[in-house]
Amino acid sequence: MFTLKERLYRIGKDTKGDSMIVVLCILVVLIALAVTLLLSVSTLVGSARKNSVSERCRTMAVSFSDTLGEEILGDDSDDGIQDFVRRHITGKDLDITENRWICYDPSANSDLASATRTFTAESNSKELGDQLNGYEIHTEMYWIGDVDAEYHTRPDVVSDADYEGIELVVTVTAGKDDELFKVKTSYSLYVEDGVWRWMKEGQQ
Amino acid sequence: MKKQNNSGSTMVSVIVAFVLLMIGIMMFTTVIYAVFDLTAEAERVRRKADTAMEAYYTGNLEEEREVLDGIWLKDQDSKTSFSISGKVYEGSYQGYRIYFFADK
Repeated sequence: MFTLKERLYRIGKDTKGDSMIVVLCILVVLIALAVTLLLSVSTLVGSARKNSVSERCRTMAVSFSDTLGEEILGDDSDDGIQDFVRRHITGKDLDITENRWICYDPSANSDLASATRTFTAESNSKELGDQLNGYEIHTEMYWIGDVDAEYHTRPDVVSDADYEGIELVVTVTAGKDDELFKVKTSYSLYVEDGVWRWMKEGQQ
Repeated sequence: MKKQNNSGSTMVSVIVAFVLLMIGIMMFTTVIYAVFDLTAEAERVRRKADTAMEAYYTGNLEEEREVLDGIWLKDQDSKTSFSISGKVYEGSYQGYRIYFFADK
C-alpha cells in the first residue's frame, strides 16, 4: 500500500498523455474563438444586407408618399385620391358597395382601427409585391374630425364647406419580409370657392 | 515474464498531438480568412447601398427605366380603387437596384 504522498508523487511523475491534453485544450480554445468570430461576422453581414433592403424600402416609401402628396395637393381628377376621399368622407355619390368613412376623434377616444382604411397598391390587377421582387406598398388613411359635429352625425344636411379643418392622415408602408419603413403625413382641409383643398401639415 | 517495451511511445504521442495541433491551426487560419472575406463583403454591401442612395438623391443613377404604369390603390374595406398618376421606376447604380415612384 502506498501512502497518499507516494501516490501523488507517482501521478506527478507519470507524464504520458500530457502533450495530448495540452493540445486538446488549445483546440477547444481555437474552436470556441473561431465559432465566436464566425457568429459575429455573419451577424455583421446579415445586418449589412438588412440595411440594404431597408434603404430600398425607405426610398419606395418616401417616393410613394411624395407621389401621393402631389395627388392630394394638386388638382382633383375624377377617379383620383381627392375624389375618393371627398366621396367617402361626405358619404355623397357613393356606390352601392361603398360605406361611409367614419372619422377618428382623439378627444372622444374613438376607435382608430375602425376609422382607418387600408389600401394595397396594384398594377395590371396584380399587387405590386408580385411584380417588384417582393417589395410591397401599403397605405393606411384616416381622417380626424369631431364625432359630435354635424358633418359626422347628420352628413346629409351639411355642405362640403362645413368639413373645413378636418385632417387627413396618410401612412405609407413599404416593406419586404420583416423590413418595413413607414412615412406618415398629415394634411388639413380648407375650402376655396366651395372646392376642397388640402394643405400639408407635417411628415414623420 | 517478458518486460513490455514502451520505448518511443512518448515520441508517437507527441507526434500525434503535434499533427492534431497543426490541423487545428490550419482550420483556425481558414476561419480567419473566411472572417476577413465576410467582413469585406459586409463593407462592400453597405458601401454599395450608400453610393446607390447618394446617386438616387443626386439624380446620378446609371440606369433608370419605367417598370410599372397605371397604379391603383384598392380599398380593402369597400374593394373600390382610385388611380394615382405616378409610375414605378427601377434605377440602378453599380449593380444595386432600387424601386421608386415618380410622376415623370
